[in-house]
Amino acid sequence: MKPNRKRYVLFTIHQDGPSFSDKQLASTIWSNLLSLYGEVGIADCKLYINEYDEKTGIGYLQCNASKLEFVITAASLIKTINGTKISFQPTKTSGTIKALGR
Amino acid sequence: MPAIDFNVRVTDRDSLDSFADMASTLGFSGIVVPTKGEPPRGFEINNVTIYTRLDIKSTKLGVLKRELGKSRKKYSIIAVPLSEIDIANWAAKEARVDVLTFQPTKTHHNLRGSTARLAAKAGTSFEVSIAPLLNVTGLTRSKLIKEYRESITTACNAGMKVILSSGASTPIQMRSPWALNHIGTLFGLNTQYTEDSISNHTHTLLRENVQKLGDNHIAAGIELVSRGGDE
Repeated sequence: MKPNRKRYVLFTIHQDGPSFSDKQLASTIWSNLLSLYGEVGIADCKLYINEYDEKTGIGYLQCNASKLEFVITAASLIKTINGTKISFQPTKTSGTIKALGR
Repeated sequence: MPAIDFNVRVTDRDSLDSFADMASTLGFSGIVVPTKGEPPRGFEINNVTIYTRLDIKSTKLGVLKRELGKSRKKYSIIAVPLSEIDIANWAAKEARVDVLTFQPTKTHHNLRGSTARLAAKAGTSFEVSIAPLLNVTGLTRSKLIKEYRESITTACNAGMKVILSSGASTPIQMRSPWALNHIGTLFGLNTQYTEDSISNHTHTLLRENVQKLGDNHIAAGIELVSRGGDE
């Protein structure tokens, strides 16, 4: 088994207010991860927002397979990003981007 | 099986449509709301079945009993928030009460082992709303998670069924069933358990209650199949 398997998560963000960038989204997920699981817990998270459409709120992120649960939990608990109220909805997880698009 | 959000804090009939839309988008087949005067057997908006619930918040046992007697047939679900020991214990073993709810406030009450055992015997479930968790961060959230975890562990050890709900007061506060499953892991519940509880268990509970509210229901296991003169 590969030591660092990746996992991709397709998600939709429902928002009530102005849109925000993928960087702001990533930074909010990181700070929530840090707050919930601590520095050691998220050390090898390898979280990246690969694609995010600000208009539709649909995107996908990449993280370490072993930390997938942490990432989804932390993202689900986000209430606001830059003052915009949001609801994070994970839609699908996959080991490859190709399978995510199916 | 599609899930049901057991606690959506809709304040008026006008906002019900937006909650139903959001529930449909997130993948819920039903929501339970505390609105008055709606049919207790459920009705549909945008392919989402709306059930009603009553939260009886009383500090006196007499008031609770009276309110329960008056309201049981008017709501799909009857919930009693955890409070003083005599009220919690009475509600736990009362068959007409469906769920005990844990709502963290300044004067909150954790679930006691004795209450949980009584509730498990009577088939009363333990409901936990995640809304308070969304409003806090840092140390306050950490303390809150600890309180949730303690009460949920007590409930699970006694054999009570735990139901996670959003407790959302606005549509945007609602979380999808999958997100709820993952939030449950913070309280020591595995995703499979939470998935089962918010889909299968809630459906069973509501189906049984709706059956009881029917005209043909006489007692548990006894139902009127046909009346004299029916063909």
